Amino acid sequence: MLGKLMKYEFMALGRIFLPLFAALIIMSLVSSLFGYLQLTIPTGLGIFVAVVLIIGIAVISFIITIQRFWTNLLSNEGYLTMTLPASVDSIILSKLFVSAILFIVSGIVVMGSILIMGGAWMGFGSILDMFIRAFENAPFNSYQMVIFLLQSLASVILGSFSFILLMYACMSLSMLVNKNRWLMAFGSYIAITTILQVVAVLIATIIAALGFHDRLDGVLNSFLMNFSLFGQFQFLSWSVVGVTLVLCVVYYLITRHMLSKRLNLQ
Amino acid sequence: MPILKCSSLHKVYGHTVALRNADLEIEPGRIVGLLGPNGSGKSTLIKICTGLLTPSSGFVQIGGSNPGPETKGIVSYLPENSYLNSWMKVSHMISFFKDFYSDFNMAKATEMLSNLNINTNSTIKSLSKGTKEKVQLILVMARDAKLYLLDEPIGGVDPAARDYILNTIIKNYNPEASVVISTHLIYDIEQVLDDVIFLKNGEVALSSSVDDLREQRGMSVDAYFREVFKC
Repeated sequence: MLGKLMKYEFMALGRIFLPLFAALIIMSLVSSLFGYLQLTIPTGLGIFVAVVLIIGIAVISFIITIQRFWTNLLSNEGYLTMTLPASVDSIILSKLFVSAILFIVSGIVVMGSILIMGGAWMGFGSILDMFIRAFENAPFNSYQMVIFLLQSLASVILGSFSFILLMYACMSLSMLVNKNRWLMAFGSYIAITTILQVVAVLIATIIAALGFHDRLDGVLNSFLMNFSLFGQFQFLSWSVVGVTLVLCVVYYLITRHMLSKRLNLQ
Repeated sequence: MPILKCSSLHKVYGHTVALRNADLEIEPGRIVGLLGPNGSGKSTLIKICTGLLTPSSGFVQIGGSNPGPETKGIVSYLPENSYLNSWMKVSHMISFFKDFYSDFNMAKATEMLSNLNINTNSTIKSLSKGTKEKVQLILVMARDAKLYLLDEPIGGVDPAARDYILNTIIKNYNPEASVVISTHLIYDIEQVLDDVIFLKNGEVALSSSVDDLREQRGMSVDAYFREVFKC
C-alpha cells in the first residue's frame, strides 16, 4: 500500500515540479552559454530568471508540502484517502517520504543549476580545484571526511523529516476546532516552536551555570578534552541527530493520534 | 453473521450528542434506508462505520471486525461531499480505484460511464457538479463490495439520473452484499428498500422491514416518516 500511495503522491507533485526543474536547468544552461559567449546583459538576465526560479522552487516546495496534506487528508479529498484500505501509518509515511524526496531533489537541482552557471563563469576546472583544496585542507583524514559527509547528509534528511512532520502535526491539531482551522494550525506552530525555544534556552542556561561552578566546570572540561576535534564534532553531531529524532517521533505521534482518533472532516 | 453490527454506539461532539446508544444489525443481501431529518445522526453513523470517526463509546463491527484497513477493503463508501482529486482525469480516478481496491470491477465501471455518456478523458475539474456526483457514484458502485454505505446519493442529481442511480443499485444486487442508503428523500427510494431504520435525535426510533411496516401501520414508509417526524 505504501508504494501505491507514494506513486499517486509522486504523480500529484511531479506535474508541478518537473516543469519547474526543467525550466531551471534550461535557464541555467542558456545563461551559462551566454556567459561562455561573453554576452554580459543576456547572461545577467538569464541568471536573474534562474535565481527567481530557485526562490520559486523553495517557496513552492514549502507551500505544496502543506497544501497536499491539507487538501488530501483534512479536506474533501480526505473522505477518499482516509477510507482507502491502508493504515494511517502508510498514509502519513507516503506523504512524508515523497515530500522529503522532493526537498532533497529540489536541493540537488538548485545546486546543479548553480554549478552550471558558476562553472561557465569561473570554469569547471577551478570549481573542481576548489572542492579538492577544501577536502585536502579539512582538519579530518579521508576516513573521517567520509563519515563527516555521510553524517551531514543524514542530518539534512532527518532535518527535512522533522520540518515536514512539524507542519503535519500543526495541521492535524487544527481538527480540534470546528472553525478557523488555519488559525489553529498557525497557533499550534507558534506554540510548539516557542516551547522548544524555551527548553533550548533553559538547557543552555543550565550548561552555562555549570561552567561557573568550580568543580563541575572541571568535570565538563575534562569530559570535552577527552575528545579529539573529530570526536567533539561527532559528539555534537550525534546530539543534534538524537534531538531531531526525538522531535520527529513526537510530531509523528501527534499526527498519527489526530488522524486515527480525532479525525474531524468537514 | 450480520455484515454490520452497532452496539450501544454513542458519539458526542463537544456538548452535542450526535448518536445515543444506537443498536442495530444489518444482514447480508438487504437494501436498507437510513432515514431521518437533517441532524438526526445519519452521516455520523455512516462515518463511524467507515472508520472516519471514532465513537465516544460502544462499538461497530463490519463482517466481524472493527473498522480498519481490512474493513475499508470491503466497504464502499459514498460521502455527501465530492472527494475526487480535481487535477485527475476520470480515467486516472478509475486506475486509482483499480489500484487500491481489489474488488473494483473495471467492466462494470466502463459500462456505467458509457451509459451516462461520461468522457473518461475529461479532467474532474472540468465536469459539472452533477457529473462529478455521477462519476463518484459509478466508482463506488463498480466495486464488488460487501457493504455499500451511500450518504445522500440522490440529493444533487436530476430526476433522470436519480432513476438511473436507483436502477444501478437494484441491478447490482448481490445476495452477499448490503446497501445502506441515507436520505430524507424517501418517496424516491421507497420502491427499492427492503428495510428501514429511522433515526431521531441520534436514537434508533424504528428498525423494521418495509413489508412489516406497511402491513402493521397500513401506510407507506414516506407517510409514516411524515407522521413520526411531524414538526
